[in-house]
Amino acid sequence: MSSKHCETVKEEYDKCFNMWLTAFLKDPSAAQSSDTTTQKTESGIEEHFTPCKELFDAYQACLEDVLKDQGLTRDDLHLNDDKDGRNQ
Amino acid sequence: MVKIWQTQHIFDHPWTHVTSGHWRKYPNPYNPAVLSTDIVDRKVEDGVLHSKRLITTNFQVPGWVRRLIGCNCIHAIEESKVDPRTQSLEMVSKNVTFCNLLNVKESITYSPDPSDPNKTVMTQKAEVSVPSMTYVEKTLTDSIAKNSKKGKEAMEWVIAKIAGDLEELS
Repeated sequence: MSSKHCETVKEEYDKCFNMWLTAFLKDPSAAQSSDTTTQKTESGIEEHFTPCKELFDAYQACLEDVLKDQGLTRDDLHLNDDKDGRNQ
Repeated sequence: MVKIWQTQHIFDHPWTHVTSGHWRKYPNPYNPAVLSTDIVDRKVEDGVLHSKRLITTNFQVPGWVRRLIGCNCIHAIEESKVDPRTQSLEMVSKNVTFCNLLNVKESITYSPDPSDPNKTVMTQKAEVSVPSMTYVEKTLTDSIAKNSKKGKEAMEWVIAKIAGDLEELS
């Protein structure tokens, strides 16, 4: 299964994100979202938001099957040099 | 041993155009090896856009090597930050497959040309290392052994499939 499996939901998300990005690059303060998540971390409370969150969540849900099919887990998806690399 | 390569380039486009283009770059006719890209994490925090992108590429090796190791794709992860206030786009990408054989880490930054705001300076650095040659040998032989077993199973399968046709040869 390739990521073409998620092509439709990805295109919808990309369209929304690209519009948001244009606004964000023009005026960073304007492209905010009312859908802000508060996350407790070791250093304190962080606030962040995800642009086009609903479409993003749908896209990520679709990707779970693709990742599984390609033998990847979310734990593999990072740059940490300390972790042992995967080997196919 | 780490092999380092770096370069700098100036695009005759403003930083906002280059940054927008970055997210729409693939697929393109110049990088046919990149099969797909997928955003796997994204958030805006303190006015900075953080993204994590999974890049799937076609492993460019001879067909016989690909048949031996049984793999035709490499995955890489790119983590990036876009800060529109300072007009900087920074990213680091690294392969997440075959890490024990080969590490390729690429760092790229895009920022406005100080002498001309309608242009963008790109700096690119790549670091390549082969952690362990003996591991390469063991991994390749393990893969060869695994694919040899698959090859035998495939042969049993096809012989069973064409059993009727083979009667004429008996």
